Amino acid sequence: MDINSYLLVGLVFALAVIFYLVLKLYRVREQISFIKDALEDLKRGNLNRRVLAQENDMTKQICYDINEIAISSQTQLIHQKQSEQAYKRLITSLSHDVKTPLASLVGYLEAIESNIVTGKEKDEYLHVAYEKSQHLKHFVENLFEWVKLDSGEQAFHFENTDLNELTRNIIADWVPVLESSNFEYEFTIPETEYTVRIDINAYTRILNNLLQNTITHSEGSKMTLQIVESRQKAKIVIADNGKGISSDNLPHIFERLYQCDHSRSAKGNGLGLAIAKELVAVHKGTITADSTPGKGTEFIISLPKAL
Amino acid sequence: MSHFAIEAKQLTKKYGRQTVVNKVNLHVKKGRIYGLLGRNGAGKTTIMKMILGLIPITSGKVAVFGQNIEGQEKRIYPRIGAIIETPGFYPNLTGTENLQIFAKLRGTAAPNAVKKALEVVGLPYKDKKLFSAYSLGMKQRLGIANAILHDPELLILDEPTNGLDPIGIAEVREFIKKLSVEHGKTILISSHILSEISLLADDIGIIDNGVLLEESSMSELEKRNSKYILLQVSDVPKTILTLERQFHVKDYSVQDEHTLRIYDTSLDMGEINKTLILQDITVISSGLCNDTLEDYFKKITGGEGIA
Repeated sequence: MDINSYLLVGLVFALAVIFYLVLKLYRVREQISFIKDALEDLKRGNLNRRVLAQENDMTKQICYDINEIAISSQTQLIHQKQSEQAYKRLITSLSHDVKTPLASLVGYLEAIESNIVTGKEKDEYLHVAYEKSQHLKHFVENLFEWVKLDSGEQAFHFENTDLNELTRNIIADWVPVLESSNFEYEFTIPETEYTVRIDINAYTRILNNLLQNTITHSEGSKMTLQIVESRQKAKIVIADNGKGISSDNLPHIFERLYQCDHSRSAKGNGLGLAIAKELVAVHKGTITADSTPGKGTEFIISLPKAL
Repeated sequence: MSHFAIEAKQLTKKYGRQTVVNKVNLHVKKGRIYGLLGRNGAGKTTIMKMILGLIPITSGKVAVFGQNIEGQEKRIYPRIGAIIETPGFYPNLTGTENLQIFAKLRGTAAPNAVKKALEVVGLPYKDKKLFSAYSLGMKQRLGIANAILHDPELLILDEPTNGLDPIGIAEVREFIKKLSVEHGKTILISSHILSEISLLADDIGIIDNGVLLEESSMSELEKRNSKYILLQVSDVPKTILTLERQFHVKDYSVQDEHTLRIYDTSLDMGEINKTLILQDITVISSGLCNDTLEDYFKKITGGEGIA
């Protein structure tokens, strides 16, 4: 009797274990069938497919690993596609940006060539054609500079320089330009020496682009440049009192070929700020813009003291 | 494999005699954001519910990932994340606890799924605040976190920005965009606000009184939306010269050998055509493209527009 009851308990226990194992097996089989489905889908190129796992599934780690592989291939693929698209956009807008001034230039030159215009008018036509060709030249130069920067082919020469002195020298060249463009100006640069490690040409280019941008686009009457220095970094703030940039446009102004007014008229080429941004990044610095429409815009460059 | 994540054919829903959704053919392409635009009561939510199989279809068909959802729920639901109307959560638990329950029920695609989902929508992880104390905006965010918890391929979001303040709306818009652009998710989103959809969607479907009036890509709509004069002429450089000298046109671009776009639409085209022809330039065609998105919506919804 005793043995029998032991046997019975044993049997019940064994059945319970078998039942549990069958359930478990069923769950694992189901999981494997899900995994198979997902792998099939992934193989066909749907990298967004995920396999879901519950907390105490035996297959949990396998599922998580499959997902991780899918996510990383997906990210790679998306990056690749994005740069392809950016390249395509560049080529399309480029073809318009070169074609338009070129067609206009040809128009003027044809008129001169076929003697439609004479005398004073001819001289004026020549002058316009010259201006247009200069603009086109600048555009193409800027574009090559940008492409060189973007592909990382530009070589830099970093040296320890007094930022305050260098900045003073750069803006000295701008004073006559500011005066002839009817801009009031105010520079606040510390008298002390502040040594930073920068590429002098690149820094000059950054300031030139920003100052040119202010003169061409701000429609303001006053420009200020201020340098604020701390132990770790220097902040260069260039502000104007012009028309400002709307909040729709503001996030995009550093993108290549972005132009706020969407006009294709002769002003600017949409590359100046993109180049400035790339060059600031080379110095491990940041450039940001802040603007209140109608009141003016402020560009803030922040450069670390040591690279 | 079809390149549609969702494809609806002749989808119809009737409640008694009333037809709420009438023969809708909807095509949501993989990896894109599809905006379903329509006034309140136009049938957007009903369409989404039918896609998800939450309410029976009167007639017509819906395929999700190329499959009929009925009978395949167990395989298809894990691949979809959705918010339809207000999501249901336990009021006496915190946001994190609520999500942990859903994670357990549904399974997850990676460790730390709850934390990551909360991060995406900008809610704190393991916060002590109970769901009942959440603001409407926080509830909405938690709903979105729940929809993306299992990293699904397809998101179906019914007015996800309802109840959010303007900054919240911009944030939600930003991360929905990010999910599509950086992670390749397919998103079906509904809204009654034209500006919302136009900022977000790649494709757009306009629904009014249960009828899908138009289905088109955003870039296609934008093309129709811009304002310019399209001019096809035999000699582009000569035309430009005339435009610049005689009509003082500055804002134009050259499309190809014979095509010009002029962005100043106030010009007198009759006068321009006459002048060009007198100069032996053949005008192949000239036309004004002038239609704003708003006007367009008004036109197709029968005059009342969607605001």
